[in-house]
Amino acid sequence: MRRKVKHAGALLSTALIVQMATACAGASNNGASVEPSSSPAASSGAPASSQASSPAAAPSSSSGERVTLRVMDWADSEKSYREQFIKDFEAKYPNIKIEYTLLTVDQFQNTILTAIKTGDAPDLFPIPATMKLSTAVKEGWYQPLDAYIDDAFKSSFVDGAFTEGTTMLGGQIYSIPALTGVPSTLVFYNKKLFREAGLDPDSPPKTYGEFRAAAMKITDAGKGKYYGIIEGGKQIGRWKLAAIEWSALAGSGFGSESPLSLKDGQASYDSEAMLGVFDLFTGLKKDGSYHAKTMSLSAPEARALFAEGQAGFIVQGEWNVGTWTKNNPDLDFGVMAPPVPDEGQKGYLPRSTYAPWIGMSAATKHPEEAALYLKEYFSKEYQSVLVKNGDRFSVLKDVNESSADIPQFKQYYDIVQQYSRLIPSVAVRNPEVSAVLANFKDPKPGLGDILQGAVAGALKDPATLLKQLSGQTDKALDAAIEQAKAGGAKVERSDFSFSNWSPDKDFSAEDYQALK
Amino acid sequence: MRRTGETKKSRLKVQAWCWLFLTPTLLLFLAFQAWPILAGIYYAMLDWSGLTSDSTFVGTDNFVSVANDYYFWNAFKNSFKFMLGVVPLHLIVPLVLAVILNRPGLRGASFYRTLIFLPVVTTTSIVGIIMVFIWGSDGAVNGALHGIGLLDAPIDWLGNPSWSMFTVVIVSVWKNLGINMVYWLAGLQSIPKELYEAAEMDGARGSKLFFRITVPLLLPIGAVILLLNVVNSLKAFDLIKTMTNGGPFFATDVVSTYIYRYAFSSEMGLPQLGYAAAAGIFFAVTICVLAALQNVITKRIKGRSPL
Repeated sequence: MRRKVKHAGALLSTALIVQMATACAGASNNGASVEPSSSPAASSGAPASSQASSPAAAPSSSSGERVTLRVMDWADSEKSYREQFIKDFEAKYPNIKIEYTLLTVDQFQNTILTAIKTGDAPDLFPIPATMKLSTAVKEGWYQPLDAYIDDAFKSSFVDGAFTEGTTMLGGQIYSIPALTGVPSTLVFYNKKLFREAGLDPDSPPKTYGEFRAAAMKITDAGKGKYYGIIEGGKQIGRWKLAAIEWSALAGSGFGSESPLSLKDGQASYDSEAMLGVFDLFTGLKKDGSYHAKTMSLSAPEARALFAEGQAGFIVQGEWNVGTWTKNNPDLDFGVMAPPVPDEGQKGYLPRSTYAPWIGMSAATKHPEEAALYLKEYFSKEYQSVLVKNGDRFSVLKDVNESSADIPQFKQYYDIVQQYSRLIPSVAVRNPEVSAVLANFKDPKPGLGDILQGAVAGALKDPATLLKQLSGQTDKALDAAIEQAKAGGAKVERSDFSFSNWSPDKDFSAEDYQALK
Repeated sequence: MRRTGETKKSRLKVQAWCWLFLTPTLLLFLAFQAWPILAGIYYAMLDWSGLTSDSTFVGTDNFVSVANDYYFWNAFKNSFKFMLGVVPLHLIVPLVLAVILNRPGLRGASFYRTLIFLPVVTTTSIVGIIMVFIWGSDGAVNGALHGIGLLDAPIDWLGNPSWSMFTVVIVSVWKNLGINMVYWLAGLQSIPKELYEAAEMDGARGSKLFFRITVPLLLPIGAVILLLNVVNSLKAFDLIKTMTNGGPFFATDVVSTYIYRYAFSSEMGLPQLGYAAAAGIFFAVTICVLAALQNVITKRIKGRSPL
């Protein structure tokens, strides 16, 4: 008997192995976590809420009672500016003490769940990247902000920042976006290496063919010291984003808001435009143009090596400009639009509606002080610090135009205006679709996995896998729609098709109206 | 009559004390091992992201999907590939080192022992991150191989699917060399010296001593080392996560990294904790079967051992 018990114990402890493996996983290194999220968003999606709200309540600064306000997020790129912001805030409002916790994305997700469940949620916290606002509100995480913010505050944001289905629910504002999400797959190039390779830094390559040729020239000139292109190859998310955005420029109709193409309403991941992007990337690999370390790097590491002059190109987002200007003043770099197919541009980079970011805990005891923090954080003074330093494009009106003074940052902005268009959002068209997206299970291997594998040389025939992915995505979406319907949501697959979408035009509020 | 009653009573008393002393461990076991296992089994039957409070009971659906997923079986296969690569090396190399370092009169034995043991006390994920540099295409390994003329062009040890598994296996062997060597040393030092002396008197020398005395007497402890290594290699996570993250294209994806991907990360939808739990249990059952098998084998070996 005793022996049996002993055996059972041994078996149970072996059964624990896998549990242990998953339990300790949270602490592991995750390259993606240090990369600022690229939640794309843009202007003039749908009319901002016209609902009048009560004027902002006055903060209780006169009461003399000392209040501790807890803020938690993962905005690591603005750390130094935020520390100064908090100092200034506490000096201005001596009765409020800010307890700010900066986590990585992964840490944040686990911490916030535990905090909310134990009734210990911070007063202000952003929504985890994979969570939909409707789910979070249904779970009782956030409270409407309308009672604490005034019209002047709301109107300081660009049009479309507050939209039903993304940052608003049932006509009330629950969340404020943090970024003007612009495409984050523009190409930065090193002008010094361009000159050494005999290329003209003032006319960077425009087509796939020119891009490959330029990368090859730089690699040849580098003789092993530097290469044509470097990427954070470890990060699946970066590959996925490049595949989606570059293929959209070639006319695939994909965007980050829906798993389906806007062009044909299908999960056509094996379309010509997508295969073209795959050919380009695998071609760069065949040419030997990728930096030898590419596959083992995270995006921030690749960014640092690019800044050291180890590669001619890097596909990255606007936040790099600030980092390089600050840390690598000698780096002579330019920014250009992603290359287009040799036959020419067939589409535009997708720009999405604003993604929700920070909201106020439903359980906060200090809503007025929290609103005061939001007011200062989204003030022109602080936001222009972020823009001036090249950290991000702000969600406030006019700040980007008036505060951007790093030339490449301005140039990035101009290229985005020229090469990207606002794509329709399924969630704006029918807010109930968020139930579908909450039930949607990503087919794996996903687009990013496949592109990464193809560039690594680990798979010979990406086209077959892309076709498979198309089928699986279709199935997963249908299953998610069925599940949402069973849960009472009024959704149809046709919600994902936009008959009046034209790739070269911003999808406007009138376009949404026309669909009704 | 009275006497047996008394012995019974005192035996009961002893048992009561035993249980009393066991209670803290038992409580900890129930709270942190038994409960998570039971909860894991329950979660495996839910369609649940782990983030929200709404979960749907789906019965065995998750298990069916796991069993039908090509990439789960790929990870399953890789887990065993890793195990088969690591375990023989984990047994043989440290044994050789232990035998060498166990020689009486070897100068600096404790220095070498410390040197070999050092990686064991280093955090695995840190080792993984550092190794990415050392085994990188312009890292020290390629540099050294190029320097001695073995390589013309650098090998992409981690980025090339044909080499990546080999690389993580080698690093794992290096990392665990020390602890296995200590196990073997303990085994070696438990062999009575008289046996060697007697054998030497009978004229046995060198390899004969090793194969006729050392090896048979080490078998029981060898079985334990084998068990520990099999189990540890099947649950390998941190080294693979940090060195290759399962890549390139799932070439080093083991069950633990597979589970991690489903439980804690997602691209468009929410994570799938229920599915991940099902994969975990599926795998745990396999390990249990293996552990039971190994138990039987161990006993056979022990039965044959002269000790």
